Amino acid sequence: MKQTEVIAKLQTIFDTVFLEPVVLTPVLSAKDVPEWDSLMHISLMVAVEKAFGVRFRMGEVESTNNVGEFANLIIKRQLEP
Amino acid sequence: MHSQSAFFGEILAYLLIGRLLVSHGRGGFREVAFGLLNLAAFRLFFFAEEDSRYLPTFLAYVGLVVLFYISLRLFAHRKGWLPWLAFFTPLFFLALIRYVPPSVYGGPHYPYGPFFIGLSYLAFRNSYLVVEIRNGAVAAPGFWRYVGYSFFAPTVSVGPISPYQQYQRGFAAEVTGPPPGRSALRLLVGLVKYKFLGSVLFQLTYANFLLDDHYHPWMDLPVAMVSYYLFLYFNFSGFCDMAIGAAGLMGIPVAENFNNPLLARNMREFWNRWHITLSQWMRDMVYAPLSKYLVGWFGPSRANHAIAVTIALVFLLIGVWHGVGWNYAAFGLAQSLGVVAVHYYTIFLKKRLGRDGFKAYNENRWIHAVAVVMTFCYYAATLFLFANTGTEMKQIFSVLR
Repeated sequence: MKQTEVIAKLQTIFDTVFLEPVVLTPVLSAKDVPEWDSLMHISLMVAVEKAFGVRFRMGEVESTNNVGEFANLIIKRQLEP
Repeated sequence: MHSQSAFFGEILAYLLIGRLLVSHGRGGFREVAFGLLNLAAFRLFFFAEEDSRYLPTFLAYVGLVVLFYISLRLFAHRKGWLPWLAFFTPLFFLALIRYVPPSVYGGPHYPYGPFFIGLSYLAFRNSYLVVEIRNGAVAAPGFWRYVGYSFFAPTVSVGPISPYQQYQRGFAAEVTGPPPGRSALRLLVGLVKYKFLGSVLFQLTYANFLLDDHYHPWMDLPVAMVSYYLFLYFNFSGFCDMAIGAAGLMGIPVAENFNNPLLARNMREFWNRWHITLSQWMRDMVYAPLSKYLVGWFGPSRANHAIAVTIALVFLLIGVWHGVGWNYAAFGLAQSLGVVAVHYYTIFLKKRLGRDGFKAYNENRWIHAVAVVMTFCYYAATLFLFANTGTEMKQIFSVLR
């Protein structure tokens, strides 16, 4: 998958998880979204892992700085056997 | 015991040599020299007093770091569960040295636990490095780079728990650190906070204000609570400012550890502003994986309770990380209570007020002001558990009239 495709799929997940609409861009970060707290973050990660069929390693999501890097991480995990 | 002027001279020499090595040194020579410089500084600044336990403790400390490095090189890059051996090695020794009495594993001449200054910070930094390597964020460092990182003098004693990813940027070809003038100013600001403001407020903390062999009115208890909180803030954040400033003078970036915590509007926000690097370590290593597991176990309909349980466990760990004793566990539980209360209150408000009402609530200045005051008072009160042993608590209550 390309980054744009991943972000488009992430948008559908964000629309389900968040009450306020969040428009995803590659440079958007958690700090830009007031509703993105610890509960939302975990709900989001569980939904993303299920939707993309991936499993994130400890600490790697938290080390991404924005949606673009998060999308690249998803692509990286998808390419792993 | 050497004089203050000699001590400042040593610090200045350390900073100058460090700066020269980082900015002008090259290749293997720089790595070895910088590693040895920090090892020597660690010995000189923390283990130079005339006490027969200091030298064996220093040597044991160096031995531990060598062991951590061996486990890192052997296991961090491997597949499957093997990296966890490298991850847990520093944490295992932290638990052994901090929480198991020496009499259990050695005789009375064994290096004394409290002399392992900064061990909690070292263990957390070095275990996090394993995760950074495993996740491909950094390559495994060479031995002398690892020694320099482990014993990096500005941050060795009280942190911040700055990740290796940030540390290694100081050694990159392009200079990325702050200008030296700004770092020097940061160091000076830290010195004023630590030495002056912290020292002044220290006079009004529990030990000096209440336990002075006199009776006190009950009003003196909240005075001591607020004073202790402010003393701790100026003392700890001041030291971190000095660490960040000193590291910046050498061109090595260090993570920020405080972000105006006195202005936090609730306990959840507080722990995103106070001892930030500890919070981030706990978030990445404990909160995220544990909450994901518990949400899966509790089920989506009870995700709120799964998060609450995770929060409670994380802050209990934070409490015991700070020290050995029931009072530290109680301090951790008090933090759990505060953050879990915010968690459920936020859920309640969102349901009760709806999206627009919740936004208006958060933007109301009066509510914000009251929330900041309440958070300030709550944390100041919980520090009573942190600052005093059980015996001291009884003594304090016995002198209040």
